[in-house]
Amino acid sequence: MTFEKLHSDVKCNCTDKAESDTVNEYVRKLKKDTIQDSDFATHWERGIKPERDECEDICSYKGVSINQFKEEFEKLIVSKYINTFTINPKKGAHYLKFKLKEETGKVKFTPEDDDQSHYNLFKSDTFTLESLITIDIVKFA
Amino acid sequence: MKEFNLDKRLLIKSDLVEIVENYRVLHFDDFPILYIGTNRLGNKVIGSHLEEDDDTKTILTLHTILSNKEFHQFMNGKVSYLDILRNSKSISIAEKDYSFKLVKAYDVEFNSIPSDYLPLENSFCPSIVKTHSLVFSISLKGRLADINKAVADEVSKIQNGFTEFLEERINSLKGINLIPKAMLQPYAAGSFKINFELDLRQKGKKSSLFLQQAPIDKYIANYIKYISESFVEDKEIFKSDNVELSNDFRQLEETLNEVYDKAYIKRPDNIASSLKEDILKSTAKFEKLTEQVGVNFESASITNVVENEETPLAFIDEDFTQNFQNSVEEIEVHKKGMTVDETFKEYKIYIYHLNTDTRTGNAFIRNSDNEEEMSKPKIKINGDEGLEKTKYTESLYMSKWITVSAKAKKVGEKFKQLDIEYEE
Repeated sequence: MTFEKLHSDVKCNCTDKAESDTVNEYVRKLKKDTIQDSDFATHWERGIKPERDECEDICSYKGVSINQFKEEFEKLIVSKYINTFTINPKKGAHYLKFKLKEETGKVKFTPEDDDQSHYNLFKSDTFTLESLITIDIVKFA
Repeated sequence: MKEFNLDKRLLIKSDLVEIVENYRVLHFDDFPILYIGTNRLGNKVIGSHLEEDDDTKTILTLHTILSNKEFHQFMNGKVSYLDILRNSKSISIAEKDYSFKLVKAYDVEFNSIPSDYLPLENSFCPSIVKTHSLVFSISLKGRLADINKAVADEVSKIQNGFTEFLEERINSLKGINLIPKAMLQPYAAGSFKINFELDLRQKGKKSSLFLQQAPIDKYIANYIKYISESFVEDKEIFKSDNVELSNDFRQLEETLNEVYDKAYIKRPDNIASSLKEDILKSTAKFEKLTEQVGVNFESASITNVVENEETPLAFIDEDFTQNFQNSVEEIEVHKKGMTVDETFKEYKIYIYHLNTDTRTGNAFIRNSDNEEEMSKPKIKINGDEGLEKTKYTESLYMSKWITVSAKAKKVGEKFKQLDIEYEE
């Protein structure tokens, strides 16, 4: 699995300490009730750049924010999605529950104070939506 | 993005709605979905994410200027974001580039926001991970305070009242041997800000390691919040022991339990009852803050400061003051009863406000049980002779203590009203 696209325009090594994970389930909020390419586009790919020129920030903009779906975090994750929906319903009412294949990419644990199951997914050069194993699309609101 | 009809909207000066200081994200989900901060004039601004467009590399957000009261109510879950927008006359769409820099701002009315993008009825402030500290700030707003000025005497009373309030709360923690000292920090603009830091030292040579883990900062912050948010609503529980305690009171009691448990100190017996007693005692000090509101500044906000982030704890304006003081009086009348002098007696007073037409005003008088504390009763001077060049106006203008003959109405030992017999 290669990450040339990911590292082509920066000097950072974003996949340092990131791992392949084909075992755990992850979730990501969708804009609609079906999965689209834009749902897995990173900020960096869209042209959104961080304020600081630090690798930590750059890599976070080059990754896709996902949450590892474990029972103890389910309530917190869904509550984050519901909070977003409550403030701006246009941000979507569904999330995708999925697993990664061997060649999908690598995940890095990047917890935050209020988001303890947060990971960044660094997509490999061959990533497409088919690289994801869809388990379910869940309507949460 | 077309649904926002930006080309038909009125452009406004973007620096009015631009957040330049105190930026704080309240909810993040790929983008800052909800955030607050202050504009260049120091007004509170709340912002939320609407939409982004990869073709034009544009992010649209809603920015709304808040009053201090709205800010406090929103941050404490009393009003929803939808209600804020619904009642606001200063909503704007802030257009940003993909570096989150504000490019343009458009005036917008609530009714013209596409309904799909409106927050829901239950759009209350998301619960944020709160950390506490022993640093507090009181910001005065309105009138003199808006030009970064304050009357020295009023500032001094606020400082004393709040300092005593803080120190007394620590001293009332039974079995926790701490010496509190509230330290003043330099004043800051915005509009007029008084900063305090509560310094706690352990008594004796032996210091307890466990005491450092006790969430005293959280307890004091929640205590101030309780006095400001729940005390008026809870007044019945302070009148009698037979009234069921409210959830807000129980939560404060829970924090107090946590203080004892984490310090490995035995909880006092009947902790709810001693907490009730302490809250009642504290109202006298808190009243000192409320007494200053309304003349030279319109409101005071108490915040807890952690690493430059301020969490609002209390918002004191004239409405709050009225409700708070009425509730304290109601409880006192219930517990101590009201007495009225049957005959005229001599009292020493200092008149600080007097309308010579209506012959009514207010005066200071020392409480009969505690010379250190003063009441501020309403006064009425009988008769119809002019009050000019009398001892009453002399007291008013020369700040002089005078002896008057009056019938006093008292609640406990506090004076509430003086009917003064006119004397030349």
